[in-house]
Amino acid sequence: MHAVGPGKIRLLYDGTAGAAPAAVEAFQLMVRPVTNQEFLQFVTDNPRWQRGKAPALFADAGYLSHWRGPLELGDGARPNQPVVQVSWFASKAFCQAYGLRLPSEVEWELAAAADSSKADARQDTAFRERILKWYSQPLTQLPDVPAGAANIWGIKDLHGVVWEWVYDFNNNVVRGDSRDRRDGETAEFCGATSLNANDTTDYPSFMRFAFRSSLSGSSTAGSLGFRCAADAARRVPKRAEAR
Amino acid sequence: MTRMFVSLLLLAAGCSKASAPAPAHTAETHAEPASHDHAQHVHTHEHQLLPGAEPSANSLYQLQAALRDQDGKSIGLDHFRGHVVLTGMFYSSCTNICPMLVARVKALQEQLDPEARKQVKVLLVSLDPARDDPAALKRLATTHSVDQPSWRFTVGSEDTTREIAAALGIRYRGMASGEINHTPVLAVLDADGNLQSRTEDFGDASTLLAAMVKLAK
Repeated sequence: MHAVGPGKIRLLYDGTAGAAPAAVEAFQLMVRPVTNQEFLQFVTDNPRWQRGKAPALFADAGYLSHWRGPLELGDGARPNQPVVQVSWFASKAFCQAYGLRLPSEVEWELAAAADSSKADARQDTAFRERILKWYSQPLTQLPDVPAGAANIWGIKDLHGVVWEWVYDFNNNVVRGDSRDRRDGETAEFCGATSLNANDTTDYPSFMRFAFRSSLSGSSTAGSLGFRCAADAARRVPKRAEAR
Repeated sequence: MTRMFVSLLLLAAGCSKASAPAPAHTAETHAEPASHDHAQHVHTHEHQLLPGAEPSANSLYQLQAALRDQDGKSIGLDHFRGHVVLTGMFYSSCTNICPMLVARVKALQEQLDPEARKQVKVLLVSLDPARDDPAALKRLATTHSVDQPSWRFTVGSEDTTREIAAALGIRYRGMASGEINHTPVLAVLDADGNLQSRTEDFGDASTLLAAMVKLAK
């Protein structure tokens, strides 16, 4: 775990044009995403979360489907690759089992705004282009983590490896597909959407917001993992500290 | 035959007009038995509705959520297990769509015949655990003249609130103004807590009504 923040960040959609940036208190964040090996330990210790046992309400049919068995990784999942095919409920349960929690959206975005030299690199064209390039690539085999360089907070792999769950993933009331509404709100809504976007050039964060909006609490995907966070003051259990 | 009561889970009754994706467990998903869980499927027999029996894989009652109601009593999300439940989420300082949600639920109840009406319970969950204490819930229930055993206005912890919203496919965000933007959702739960019908369009609740009528038979 590494300390991140405090800081301020303006999210793409805060619902009110011109609103002040969100103040984010200092917190701790895992240096890299949670791995298959770690998640295997979790489901071994918590059988309720094993594939085939986790209720459908909490994890859809894709849950850990790339593992050979409920307690076996197999060839499709190396121990140090980030775990994917995990739902929000399962990710949250993992963090809680170790005295941690999922990062909030503003916390994750604050950490992810940084590059190796700046706390907020989002106006940097090269930074954006790197992220967008990753978003546009088809999913290939995931690297072992940590894979990339540390940002200014010491956090790695926030971009370029997997999408990550945040605690309040379901906080985006503005929907990209509100055009589908069959009632008379369509035009009004699309207009409102653009007006409320604080920075329409920050396309990478728009992509993330759109992606989160497509998820439900039981959703899983081959490109979707997570990492845990903790309050700044929290003494992190030794097992989690190494991450 | 299984006697089901329609739990009208008033899912996030929205103060916003946005729409949200149906959660993965809505629609037809729950109509198929989960492969590992045949025994607890919704259309199974009465003994599975006994208190203490494990809810089915898709049941909202898997959440084991602890709530407080408008009388300050600790109740579970599964308070009305064994009944049909109409459910949704609200917050009491909401001046917009939330009053409409309560009115809509009352109107839906009135469209049921007297027998069905007895079987349908209402359980609403607050999106505002920081401000909605039992006293605030009581005021809301009284204002709408629905302070009765079959109507529970409830509030849980912040985490419980987030989990129930996730399970119901409700999106919400607290705004600097103190308002809470949320998708307006009303849903019907069967006797075992499975989501059987859900709408984000209060103007057209015909599918909710049909589900309640069917489940309350």
